[in-house]
Amino acid sequence: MTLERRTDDVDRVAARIVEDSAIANALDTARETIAAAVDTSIAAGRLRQSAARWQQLTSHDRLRCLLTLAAVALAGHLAIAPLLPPQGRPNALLAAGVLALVMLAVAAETSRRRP
Amino acid sequence: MLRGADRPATLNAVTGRWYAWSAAAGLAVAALYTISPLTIVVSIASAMVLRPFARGLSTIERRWLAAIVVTALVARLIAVGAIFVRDLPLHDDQFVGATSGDEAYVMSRALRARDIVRGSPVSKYDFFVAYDEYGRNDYVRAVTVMQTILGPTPYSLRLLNALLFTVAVLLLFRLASNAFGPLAAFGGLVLALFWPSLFAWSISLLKEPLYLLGGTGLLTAAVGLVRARRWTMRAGYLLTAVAAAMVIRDLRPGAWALAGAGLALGLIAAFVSATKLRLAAAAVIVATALPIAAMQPAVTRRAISGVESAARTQTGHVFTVGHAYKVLDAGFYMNPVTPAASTLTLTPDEAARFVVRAATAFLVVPLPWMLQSARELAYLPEQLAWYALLLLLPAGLIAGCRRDRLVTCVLAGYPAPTALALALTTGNVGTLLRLRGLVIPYIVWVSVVGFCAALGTLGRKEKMPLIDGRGRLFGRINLFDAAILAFILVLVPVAYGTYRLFRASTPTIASVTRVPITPEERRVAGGSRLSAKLKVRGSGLRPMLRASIGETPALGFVFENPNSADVLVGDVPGGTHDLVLYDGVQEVARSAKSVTITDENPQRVLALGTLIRLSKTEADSLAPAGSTTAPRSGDSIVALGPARPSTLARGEWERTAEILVQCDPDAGGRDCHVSGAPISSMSTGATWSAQVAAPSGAAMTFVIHEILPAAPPSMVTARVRFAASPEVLGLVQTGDRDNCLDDRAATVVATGARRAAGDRAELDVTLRLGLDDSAQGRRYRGRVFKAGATLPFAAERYVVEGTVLSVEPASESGAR
Repeated sequence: MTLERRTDDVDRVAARIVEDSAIANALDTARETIAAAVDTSIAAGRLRQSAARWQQLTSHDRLRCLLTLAAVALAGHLAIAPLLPPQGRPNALLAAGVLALVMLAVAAETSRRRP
Repeated sequence: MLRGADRPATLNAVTGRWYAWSAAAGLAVAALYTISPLTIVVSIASAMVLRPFARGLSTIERRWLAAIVVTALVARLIAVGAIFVRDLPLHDDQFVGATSGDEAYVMSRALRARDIVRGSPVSKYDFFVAYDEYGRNDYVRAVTVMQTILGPTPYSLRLLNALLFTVAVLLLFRLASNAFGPLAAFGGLVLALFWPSLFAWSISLLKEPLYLLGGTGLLTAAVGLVRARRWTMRAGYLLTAVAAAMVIRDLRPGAWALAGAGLALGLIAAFVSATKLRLAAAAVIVATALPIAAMQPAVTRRAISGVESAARTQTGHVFTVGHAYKVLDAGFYMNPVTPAASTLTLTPDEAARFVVRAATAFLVVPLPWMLQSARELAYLPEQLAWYALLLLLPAGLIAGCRRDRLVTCVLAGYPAPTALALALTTGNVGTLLRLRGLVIPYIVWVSVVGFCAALGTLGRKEKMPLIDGRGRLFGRINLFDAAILAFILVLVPVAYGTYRLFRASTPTIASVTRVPITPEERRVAGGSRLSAKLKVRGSGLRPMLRASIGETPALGFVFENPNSADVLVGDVPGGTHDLVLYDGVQEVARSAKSVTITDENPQRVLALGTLIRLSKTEADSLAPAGSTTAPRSGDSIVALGPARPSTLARGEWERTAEILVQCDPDAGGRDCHVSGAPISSMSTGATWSAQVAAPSGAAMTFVIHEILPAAPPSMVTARVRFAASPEVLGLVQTGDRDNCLDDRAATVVATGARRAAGDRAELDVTLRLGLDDSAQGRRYRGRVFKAGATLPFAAERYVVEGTVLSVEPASESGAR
């Protein structure tokens, strides 16, 4: 038997032992239960529906929606930030700049994923 | 594509709803971003950054990866939420959200710098902290920029660190997945993400997650660089490696050296271990080079110098508050000093012992029976898991090299220099546990490979008769389950048992009583004043403890047995004090108000003599009324004669002096003793070394000629008849003074007529002098002084002997 073959054997035996173990099976069952619960939840269903509808929008509309979200978020932030106490207040303009960059990245990622 | 007016009305209505929802979502984002901007940034970054790590995995592997990573992130989110809830009562303008000193330092420094940038009212101390060289690094700069732009981020910074840590672990997961297969990769992933101490510092405010990300980036880029076939990929890996190196550059002292040495070690190991011939050649080279290098004095000196430097840092760690461990010979920990002030030197044997002990300690400390607190006891399972990692490491190295030599060697080699540096410089258990986290994320994958290999080997029926074809022990228990259960049900209880059985007992003080000081102990005090001796009874006492009376360190802690010790007390202010026992700088026992020192006025004597073996500068710098320093702080110089060249040795100077010497207290009703020796033995010619408070602080030898009482003398006027040859008596003049520095020295105030008496002459003189009371009557310089007594009188130019004719009190104006 070659070294390569022996290694494969050892790996296969180890994998089989772990697959047969009660602890691994319990974890797998727990994972499947949680995943199933999440998948069948009303919130997840709504989220999936929304995502599907979002995907049905044209890329132009999606971009406009994202720009609307970004513009409102920026304006909202600039309006709300001065209401914070001075010690906890961010530098509103620079923080808005960071938010704009993040939104840009999200927009770029969203448009990149679109087939 | 349909646009604007060309679209049906229903489609426009749908799009309009999406705009409305977008605006509402924008408002929600604005509100959340204003409350916690970094949380929004981290959340979006997580969604974008973590997804690529699932590429190329099978469906089941993707599901498992998602389950593990989501569980890890949710657990961290809950932990940060728990910290937030716990800290709610503490939230105010000064809050920095820190759970440890290091975290508080990072955040407070960043917030101070933010106040300076914003023009908020600040103090000099804010500037000092913000611009201090100590603790300055890129992480602190990045945190400062974040606080300045986004406002205080005491909790969202923890989330950012959790994301950095997770990304770092996922980088290693992909590396291990490609090299060792899914089983080892997922095993390593679970261990790395849920290893308790790693979990704790992954949600800390510290630099460790960023340092780990830089290290893993460098390591994975280096492996990619070696394996890339296209130059574009090589360029990409090179750029990644450079960026990662820049990230870790100043996060830790010598970060580049440690990372470079680790990578080099891994790559060399991979190259050398590729064939048996290379391995044999390397073994021969090392076996030849090491003895030759060890025989070179220059190499040995340099090596020992490096070890000494590390040992000084190690003692510095030991002398910090917390649970310390010692790896040098015990004597090096007697006197707490900072590494900068340490003059520690090591012989080659001591250095070798230190290195071996330090390396061993890095692997085994804290042993179960060394745990000292409930917090450390909670760490016991993780410590056992660490031992398991170490035990599996050799098997992992062998099995890993069979699967992927390069990745195995780099994973094991990269943290090795860091581990060595930590082993040689750390002396605090808490610090060791924290810094061990710099090593675990790398070796955990190799150890899991070892575990899988052990599992696979044991599970083959032809190897183990007790295990069936399905890998079940005695046909009943699955091997994997057996290993986990053995860890939980056997190892942890056994380790707890060893802790209960073998743990070092904590020193306790049951009683403190005052006992007489023996002459031997006074001599052992080496010139220091002993004011009391205490007998301490208790349990768990150890030879290397230090004692302190209140704030004043005791002269000595003399160990007798674990239940009894003596404490020798030096100069301590009067009053009632606590007796405190220290191990290094760690207080280990205290007996409140158990030592009472009475402020009794100790007996003093005047010592007349000569300070000898002085340099000219020292001789000139001495001043009357200057106090001597420790160990005899109660003594003081009363008077000094002029500085003069020594008659005994060329180049040396001397000066007559009169020093008020404090007798030993608690002398047990005996005569005055100084440093344990009776004052009578300090008569003419005796020498006694005192630390005189000269500017140089140097020790000066004081040759005692004469001892006088410290009490002020009674000043008298006496008529004395000198008898000597006419030539000698011709020298006597008014103002001549007996050769004594003290004010009681006899001084000629008047001379009468000289008359012949055979071949000699006589001269009556009036002297003014000071007499001391004694049981035998008044004395002048130790001799009985009354009519008829003889008086030797030694002036500067002559010596003459006289007979006292009468003694009368001196006039009031002339009294001392």
